[in-house]
Amino acid sequence: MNPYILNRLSDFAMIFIGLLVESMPFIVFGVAISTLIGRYVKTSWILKIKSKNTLVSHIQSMLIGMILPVCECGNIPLAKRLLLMGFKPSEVITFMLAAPIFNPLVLITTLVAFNLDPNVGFIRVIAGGLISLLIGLIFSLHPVPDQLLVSKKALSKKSFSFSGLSTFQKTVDTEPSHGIFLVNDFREEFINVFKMLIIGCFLAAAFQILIPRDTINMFVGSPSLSVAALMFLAFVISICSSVDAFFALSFVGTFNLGSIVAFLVFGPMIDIKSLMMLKTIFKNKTLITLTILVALACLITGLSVNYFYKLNYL
Amino acid sequence: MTKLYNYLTLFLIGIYIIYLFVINKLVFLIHLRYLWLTLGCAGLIALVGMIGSISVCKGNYRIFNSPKKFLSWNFAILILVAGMFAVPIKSLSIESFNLRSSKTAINFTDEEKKQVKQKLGKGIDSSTFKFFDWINAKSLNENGIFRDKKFKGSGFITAGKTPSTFELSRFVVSCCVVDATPVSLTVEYDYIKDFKPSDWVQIEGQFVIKTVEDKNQPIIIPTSISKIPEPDNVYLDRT
Repeated sequence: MNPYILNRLSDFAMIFIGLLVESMPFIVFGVAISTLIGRYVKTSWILKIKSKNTLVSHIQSMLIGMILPVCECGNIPLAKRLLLMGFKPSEVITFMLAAPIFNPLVLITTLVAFNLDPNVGFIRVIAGGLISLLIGLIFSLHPVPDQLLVSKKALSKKSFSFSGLSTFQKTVDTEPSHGIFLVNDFREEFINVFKMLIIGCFLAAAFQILIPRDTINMFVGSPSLSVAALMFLAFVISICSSVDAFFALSFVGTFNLGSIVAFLVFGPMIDIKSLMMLKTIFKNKTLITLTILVALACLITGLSVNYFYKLNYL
Repeated sequence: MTKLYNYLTLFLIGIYIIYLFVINKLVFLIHLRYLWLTLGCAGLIALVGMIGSISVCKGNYRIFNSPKKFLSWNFAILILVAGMFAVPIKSLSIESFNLRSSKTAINFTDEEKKQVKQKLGKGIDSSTFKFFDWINAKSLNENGIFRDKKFKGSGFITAGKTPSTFELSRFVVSCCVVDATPVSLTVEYDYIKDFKPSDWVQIEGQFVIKTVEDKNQPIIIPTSISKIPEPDNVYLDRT
């Protein structure tokens, strides 16, 4: 075979395996927390704390990311668990979008990468919080929230409903907590996410092999297209939010601040890898709507930042 | 059967990651910072997979007599994970280097720039500098600080801008192979035909300032250059 093709195939395999291995600790962490919560945290406790006011409950969901510090890979099993515990789909959407940005580790790495310049970290948190809240509230207007999700059967083999206490959780609350149940829960949850992770990593690796980085640089000169270009890169590259700030640093000086902020906000919220894993929770239609809404919100954020900073940075 | 496949998959993923560590190839895929975290998780899932597989098989021989359920998506995933053992782990190729080479090179924080400037100013033996320090120094755009400084380092060869030069190149990673970003230093060498692109070389030499493509820039003039095998840690650390 042609050595060029062989090398490209080898690079594809390395990126695919690299993404898979890199995501593994975060997924294991997320699945383990989700499994433990499912077994030991009673739904009644959660529902007691959760506000009945739509806005407040969405703010609460937004802030959960600070208590359960997981990146975008690990928060998918947790999002599923929150649904099973009686959270509304829109609240879970807010959690999913905000958690990878509100993660304390992400905040620290953003500050460190950008030389403790509070601008980038501050804009990232404020924009991430507002976008996640806004999009969650938009989805809360859906007349039948259950329609946003995959079939109940697919979401959990045990029956549950979103109004009030889930019957799934009732069953769990009364079961004896033997180690083997935990192992079984872990397996079920992990494999569900892992199947989609494989597809996500495959697509992300393929895009990276097929699209040269210089393609992105074609848009450097345009204030609006540069924002879109870095958002596209964030979508394709599927890099973990805990280190994306270091990667974004390589665009400083070439790209404007708005594009960098859009990269840092859009990437943790939506990328190929997490989108595939989200298919285990949400219907395709929901995911398409979610992607469009998040993309639009991030684009507006990036353009606004450019407008206010007059395209100058560093 | 599904349960058994799933548990075996978990077991194999864990073992695969541990295997990569044992053969010293895990650092080809992820940043060193994640090494122990990844290994810990690998151990955990291998253990969960092993306990699960044993508990499913224990006294339940009927699961091996259900040929109808033999082929499934869960089986395909198990095979895919098993197949990963056969994939040779390498660093990214020179083709990826070229595709990733762009104007968006590594940027350094003010603190990093300050540190390297101080180091160069102090008159420390510059041959102890790391490759990354030189890339950092290059970002200062002050050619004078390179003048007559000694260089010692290794990297792989990529095409130069003129027939008598080549680029001594490396990839820098922040997280994993996904974000590997190419960096390079220019080397002037008359016997470039002795080497081919992607060869790993160890170079000792001195920086001079020369004009290449109408631009003054630091160039390494080697005093010795030798071919070396690919090192254990092929990527440079960004953080």
